[in-house]
Amino acid sequence: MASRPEGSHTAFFRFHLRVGVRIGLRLLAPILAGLFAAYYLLRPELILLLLDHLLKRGGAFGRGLSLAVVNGLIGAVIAPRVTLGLGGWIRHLPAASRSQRGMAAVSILIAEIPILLPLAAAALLLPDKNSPAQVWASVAGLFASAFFMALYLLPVRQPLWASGLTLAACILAGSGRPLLMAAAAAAAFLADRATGPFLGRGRPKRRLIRPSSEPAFFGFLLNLRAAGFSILWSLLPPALFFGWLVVFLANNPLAPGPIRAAVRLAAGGAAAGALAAAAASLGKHRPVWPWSRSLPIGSRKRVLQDALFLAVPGAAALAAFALYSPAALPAAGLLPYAAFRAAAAARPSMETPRSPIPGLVLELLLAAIMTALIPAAAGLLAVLAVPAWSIAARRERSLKTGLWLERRYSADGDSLTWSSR
Amino acid sequence: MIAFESVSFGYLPGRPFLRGVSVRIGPGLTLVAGPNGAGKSTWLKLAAGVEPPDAGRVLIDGRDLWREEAAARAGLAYVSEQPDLTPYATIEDILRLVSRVRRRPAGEADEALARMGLERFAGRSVRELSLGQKRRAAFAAALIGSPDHLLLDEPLEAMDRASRDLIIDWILRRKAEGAVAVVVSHDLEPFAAAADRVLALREGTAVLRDVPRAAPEDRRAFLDRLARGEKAV
Repeated sequence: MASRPEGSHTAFFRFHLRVGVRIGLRLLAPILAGLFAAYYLLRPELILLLLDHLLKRGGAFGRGLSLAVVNGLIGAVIAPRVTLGLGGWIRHLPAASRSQRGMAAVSILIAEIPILLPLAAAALLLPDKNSPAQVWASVAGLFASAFFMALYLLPVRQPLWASGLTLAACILAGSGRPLLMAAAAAAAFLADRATGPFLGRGRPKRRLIRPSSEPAFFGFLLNLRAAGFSILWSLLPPALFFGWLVVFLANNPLAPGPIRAAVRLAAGGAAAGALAAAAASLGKHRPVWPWSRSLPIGSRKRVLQDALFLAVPGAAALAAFALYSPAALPAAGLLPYAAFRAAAAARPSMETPRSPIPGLVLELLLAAIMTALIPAAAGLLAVLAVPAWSIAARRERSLKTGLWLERRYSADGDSLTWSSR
Repeated sequence: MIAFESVSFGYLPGRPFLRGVSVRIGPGLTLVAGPNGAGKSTWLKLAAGVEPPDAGRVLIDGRDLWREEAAARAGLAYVSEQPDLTPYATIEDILRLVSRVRRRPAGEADEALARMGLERFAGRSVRELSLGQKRRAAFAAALIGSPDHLLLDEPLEAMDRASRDLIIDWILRRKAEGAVAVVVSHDLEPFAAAADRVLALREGTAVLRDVPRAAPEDRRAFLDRLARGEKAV
């Protein structure tokens, strides 16, 4: 019985291929929507300029570094979806850690295809002074860099030097130079020799934040503890909006009125993006904690604590915009309304499979556009924060925590119970 | 044969959970007993090759789980208390994978699905399932082929009467066929009559004891003492 089963590599490859394709297909719709939005909002010229800078300009190291950053951002979204569970039950199946790691990286790469293919097409189609062979090498470098980044992002037992070597391989591969790509492969091979199995889930994380027993801060600090460092991702949308604003104003000579409108639009969009990202992070990481409902704290207060927590990244983004230009200040009126709407979305219902976050993003972006066009609308939105608070509290009260727990944690979920019919 | 050779393991550095445990478990039904937090599930994870030991070796039929990874795991079937299956895979994907790595026809995966009452969930991804459904899926995976090392963590928890009977029958049949069955369960009663030995975990140590061939009530009393964490004498 102890002989090694033939074809286990193929079996794992097919399994990870299916998982990768499923995640890729799930990503396809939002990516297509994003591409259309970018096309109509930013115009093709800007997109082509950005792609040209990413894929064509700069030296070998600069290009490798930019591709590593892009691949890191994409991989940070996709890798957790592929690797969740690979440190647990699946490890008892007959496959070596090395092949499990390789297959998981392939799975991540496949899931990234909807993003990598348009980038590869851009690398091939954009005007280039290099020879066709060099252009093809840079396309190969793009995929190799994505693969090495996938290896880097796997949650495995690995010494620090090996982790650094894998990251270096990612940068070297992105250069598109055959010699450097060969060096990247050698570096990744060396790092792989020192790499161990996937980390198990049993090891508890060290908690940096202790919840306060003071009721006013209890929920806030628990939220911070639940979301952890992932809350920092909510600062990415404001950074993108800030980048857009700087590029837009640098390339478009405008009168003061439209400049102020552009600043308000970017600031409002940044706050909206930060709040939506924070709500998504909180909704993902925090259990509903039904027991808290037995405490003498009302749903309005629970929602208020969530709203205060979610408002922090939005307020930070608005403060940065206000430092850049005081014209961003009217967008602050959006913040209370957006915080309560985000607090409502951060407690997802399990009755429908749809996430409330895309709807929240759309709603808050429309509010940001309204504030940009009519600054007085910020005042109206500030008033609307009161009903938004009530709606969020009502939603919190109507949340079926039992269903949420059954789907996520509880042991009493059963295929024959009422909830699965 | 499952062999632990001077195995130490801890979740936090410098705080070992198991200290230098050495046991050899042969064919038959072995119950793992001990109070909450004694390390029963952790011991099973180490035996299943889910957690690597900090020191020492875990051998399955003489093969080191972390040196001959694939070969050592070829005959293992592990069902955890809270199965952490890949969330974006469907149940069908997982069972097909298991049937392929155990070199069994795909029909066995369908049969296992049917036995656990999961046919209509076959195409659902794991993240859409309740915990009970995930446990059934993990059990369906264990039913495929004839794994000769069964590592089961609370196998009867969250199971209806029909599923409990099916699981108990399966464990006893595999035991009779010469498999090594290791069961962690707070509910020892269904296994008391068939248990050959007990692995008692207490304060980081493990002691293996044969269950006395005695009257049923004496066997149950013996198991109860060990489950409460009393010394195995």
